[in-house]
Amino acid sequence: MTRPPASAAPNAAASPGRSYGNIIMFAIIGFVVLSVIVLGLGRAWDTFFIGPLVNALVFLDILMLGNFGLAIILFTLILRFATIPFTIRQLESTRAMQAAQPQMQEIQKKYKDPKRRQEETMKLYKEHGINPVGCALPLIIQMVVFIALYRALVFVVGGSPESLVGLSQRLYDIPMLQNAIPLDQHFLWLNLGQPDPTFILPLMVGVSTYVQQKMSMTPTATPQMQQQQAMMAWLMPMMLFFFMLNLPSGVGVYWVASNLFSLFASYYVYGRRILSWRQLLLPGPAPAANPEPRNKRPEQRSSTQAVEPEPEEPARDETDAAGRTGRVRAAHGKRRGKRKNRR
Amino acid sequence: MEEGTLYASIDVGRMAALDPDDLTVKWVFPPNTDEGDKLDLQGIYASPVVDGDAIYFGAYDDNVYALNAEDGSLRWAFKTDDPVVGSLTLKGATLYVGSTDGILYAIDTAACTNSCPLEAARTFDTGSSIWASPLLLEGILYVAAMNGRLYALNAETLEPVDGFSFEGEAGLLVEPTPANDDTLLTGGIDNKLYALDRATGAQKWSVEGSNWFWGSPLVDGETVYAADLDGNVHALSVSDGNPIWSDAFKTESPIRSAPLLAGETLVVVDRAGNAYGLDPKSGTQQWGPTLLGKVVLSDPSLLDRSTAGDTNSSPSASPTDGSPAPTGEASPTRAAREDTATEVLISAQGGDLCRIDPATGSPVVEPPCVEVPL
Repeated sequence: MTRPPASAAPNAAASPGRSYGNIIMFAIIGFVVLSVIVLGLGRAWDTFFIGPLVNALVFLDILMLGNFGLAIILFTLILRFATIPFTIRQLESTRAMQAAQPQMQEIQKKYKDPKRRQEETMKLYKEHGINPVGCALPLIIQMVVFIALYRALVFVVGGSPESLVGLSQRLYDIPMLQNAIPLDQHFLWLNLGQPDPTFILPLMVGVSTYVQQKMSMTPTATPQMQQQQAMMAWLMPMMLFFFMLNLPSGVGVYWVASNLFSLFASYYVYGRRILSWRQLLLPGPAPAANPEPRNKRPEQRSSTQAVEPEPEEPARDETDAAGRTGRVRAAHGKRRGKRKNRR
Repeated sequence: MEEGTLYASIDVGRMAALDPDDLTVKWVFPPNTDEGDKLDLQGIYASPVVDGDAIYFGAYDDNVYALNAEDGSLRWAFKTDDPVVGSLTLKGATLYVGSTDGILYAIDTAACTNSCPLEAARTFDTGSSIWASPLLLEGILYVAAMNGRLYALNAETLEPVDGFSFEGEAGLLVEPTPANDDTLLTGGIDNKLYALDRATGAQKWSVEGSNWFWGSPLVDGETVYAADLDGNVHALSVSDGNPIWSDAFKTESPIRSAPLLAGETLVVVDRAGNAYGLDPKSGTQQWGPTLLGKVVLSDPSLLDRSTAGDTNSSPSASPTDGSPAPTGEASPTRAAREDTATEVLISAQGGDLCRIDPATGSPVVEPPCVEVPL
């Protein structure tokens, strides 16, 4: 099974799906900005994020027969599936960025004028169909949901009178939802409204975030950037670990479920990309063992593939130029990839 | 207030005995010691019950605590499975506790010395969650549960009373309150306040608010004052539930606390700490809002210095929201006209105590809310 070279990634502007994606993205941003202007930040946040989220969680709790932990996991899956076009787009942009690294390094070397360098970089992004905004949007959505979920959980399973008063202001006047109050806060060993005193969940959040970050790291143009990226790979999980020591466990359940989903999404987009313990601990991005989407049928491939048949060597050359040793030539399949990774 | 001592929860999750004159602390529990530092009550949402030399209260750390009233030392703690947020009810040596684990515990305090094992309590499981304080009336214990049911139990055996049945449309938060000799009030998440027959639980009338009812209704003669969580204060006829005021009085934020009648003024305090004085007959605003600048969930209390020691109830403080709990059987009507009231004491979230003059609404001290020095 072969795939088009990364340099031949379809241009974002040429794809109708991506155009729709852009329209949806800008519509969402426009709606958010407009509601903030009309209602004010606090009220808009409460009306369009916290309120619907609170009611959705209560409704899912009913669907899950009163198991609120499962309701949070179901909510995570629904949200991640709903935003999967953005997620796939982010991963594809990341993949395209990986492929464009050699040219980016060339640009860094070739152009000393920052303005010109910027222009050339943007041109390269366009050629490769890389959308930096598209990369950021799923992360922004994740963070917004994370914050909103934290606030919603305080109301939904906070368990204190203050929380219940807050819930009364946000729960819709629907008997089915009202009958579900108060929700059962217990799930596995956790009290979903309280931090996990055993540290198990904070550890799960930290570890899953670290692995997920390693899986989605991109090659960088300079050693400094690589160093920064490596630092971030540790910093973010550490921060989340410490946050989780004080946040309701329900937020941690969401985060772990979301990270697991991201790992599967990475697998879907990148194909098999196995990390060894050594690769997990060392700085730098994970190797892309088989960039071919696992379930991408031949007929689904980009039409550009026919025009630009994939050369095998350039794929290796590109990775070599980026200074990686673990990359696998696309045409050589999984066995080779595994063997390389084991080294 | 009990024998010249004011018992209140201060700070977060600490019970204190205060001098009512200057609010100085006589003792505090957990104490400021290494041993005390190990205890984290997480919050006290229930008003204490004082019985002679003992003081009882429930805490958010799932425990019921018994302290020596003299020095605040711990006598025993009784563990439930979930936080205790409602007030306790005491009859003789039996302490009735409703826990959010859904179980009503009847603790035999005589069987508890240095510790209080589970065997010291008889239990009744509602299968739901209990947030409201239980009410004891003529040997019958009324327990409102979050499954919408009001249970009438024999206080001795905890067996359900034959012929009594009531189920609301959603969870019940309002502690059962006697309106007259044969009527009980309760309500909750279905936005309704119910008047029920005390013997059978049959519904006499119900009134729908625009949000949940939670604060205890105040009954004064033939009038019920009740506030909902949309900040509407209703005055209703006990007999048929018809409105007495032309319109409900609207405050700026939700009202969790119970209304208080101080002389000729009905005092209500909303969650945002806005205190209002209303004419109880017409619902017109006499003063306010007096801005306390603190979040208030607890019931206001009257602090009458001239009669200090004559009342059995204690004000609750931050982050409490429980109402003063009776130490024995409740009288048919708990509302009392306090013509000699001198100030209203309000405990706010964060541990501050606020004091206002009920006649004018002006703060007794400036600022109106002060932190109790530990």
